[in-house]
Amino acid sequence: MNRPHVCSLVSGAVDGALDPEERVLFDEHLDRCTDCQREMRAVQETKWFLKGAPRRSAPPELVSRLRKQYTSVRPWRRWVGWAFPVPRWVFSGALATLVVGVAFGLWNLWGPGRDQSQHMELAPLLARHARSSSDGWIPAGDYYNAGYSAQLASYEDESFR
Amino acid sequence: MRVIPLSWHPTKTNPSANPVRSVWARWIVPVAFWAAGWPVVGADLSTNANVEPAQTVVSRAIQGSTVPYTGDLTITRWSEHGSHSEEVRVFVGGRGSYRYEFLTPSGKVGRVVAAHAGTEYVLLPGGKKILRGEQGPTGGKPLPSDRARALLLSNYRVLNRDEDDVAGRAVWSVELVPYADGKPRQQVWLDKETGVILALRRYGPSSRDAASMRFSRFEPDALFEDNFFQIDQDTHSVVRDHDVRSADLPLSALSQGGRTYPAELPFGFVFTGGARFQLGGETVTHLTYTDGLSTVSLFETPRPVNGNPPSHDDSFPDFWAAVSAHFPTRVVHGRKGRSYYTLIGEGSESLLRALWSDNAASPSTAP
Repeated sequence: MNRPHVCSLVSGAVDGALDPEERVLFDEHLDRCTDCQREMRAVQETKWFLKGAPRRSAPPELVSRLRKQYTSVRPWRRWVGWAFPVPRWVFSGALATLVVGVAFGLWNLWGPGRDQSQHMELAPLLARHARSSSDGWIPAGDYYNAGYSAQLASYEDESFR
Repeated sequence: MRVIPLSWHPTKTNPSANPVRSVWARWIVPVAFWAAGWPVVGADLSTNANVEPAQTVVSRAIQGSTVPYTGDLTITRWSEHGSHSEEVRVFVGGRGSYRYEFLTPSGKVGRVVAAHAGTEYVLLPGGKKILRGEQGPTGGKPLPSDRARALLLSNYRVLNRDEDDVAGRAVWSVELVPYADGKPRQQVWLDKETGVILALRRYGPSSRDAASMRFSRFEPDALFEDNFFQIDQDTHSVVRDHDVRSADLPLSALSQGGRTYPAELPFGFVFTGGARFQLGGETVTHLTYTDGLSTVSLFETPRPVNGNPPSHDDSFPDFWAAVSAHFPTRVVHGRKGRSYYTLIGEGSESLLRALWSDNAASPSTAP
């Protein structure tokens, strides 16, 4: 193998991360190239040096903060994320849609001018009451069906249109 | 009845001082007054002989009349907003057949109410729009007559009033005065010969509210052609069912799902009948109560009822003037649980509120 050297493969060779084909090519080049042999040794020595260096633990508060930030996922979010693997903005959009929907429903029920449309009309009830009054033994509230027929005529006339 | 002095109270003077005066005072004067009083008593008794006892008149009014008749009458109503009057031509062919023609101010026929063979028609002004419905209870009233009479007499004091004549006919007159405050009182003039009520006058709990019905012409024993009470329906007529039927269902038929309705209300009102109907896609329950004279309606609805006047109607520019052709009604709204209640009656608003208070008029749920 001529220059350019496969120096970029030295680190992978030391870590044992080359695939078999790359490993064969790298070994053939290494037998003939003293520069790469020297670099190979340097990388191995550095690795051994680092491996033998004393270890220091991270501060507990840092560990706690990092753990909370990256590993503390609520169970329901974990479940939702598993069941519906959707981006986070979808949840925000759904929440906004829900708020707008509820607001529209409330406005539809009790908004300006809406309360009257939810009420039932009184006139048909008055007509039925007048009819009952005219059914008595002695005419009392409604004489000769006058009120009853007037009310019927008043609100039923609309229904013919 | 006039009070006739039939007793003599002797003077406190000493009888022994003047024996002649004593005898005069003790015997002659009382006897003379006693003798003079008899013609007055006799006249009073003879008058009583012509005055039908008030309760008998009430019984006759409740009994009704089967005499066919025709006549003209005027219905007038007074309120704080003014007065409203309507003239009606009446044709009654005995029980079950009638035709009432309500006249316009120009004297032409406006709307018509006619019934025959169990079907009642309401012809709207113009005669092309016809509302068809079930006739009122002609075979049986909401209450048996004897119970209605007993109920009326337990809630109203019946007073004889001076005789009068209405439309040139001899009548008996009684006044029905309620024992409870807030109910209307009513005066009735009854035709002696036929038993037809020729005039009514009803006074509301407010001095500004009153209504009257009075015949100006009355002719009994009228003869009608066979098809007189039938409605002519030509090809241009549009007939619709108005679905306003008599409330004649018993309480047991209305109670469902453990819910029971009161059989009686305070102030002497008892249940007479109910109905259940559809209004705007919702089910409405209607219960009626009577004290023998006045009627109170209780409506149960799933939504609140609009207590304000309906929207403007071109066919009746003054809706409430048309409505006021009968006695003024008052409306009280309430709510219990998920249901809304509307109480309608001719009594005062305080009376209706008292009926509603303590949930007297609201249904209960059986445990």
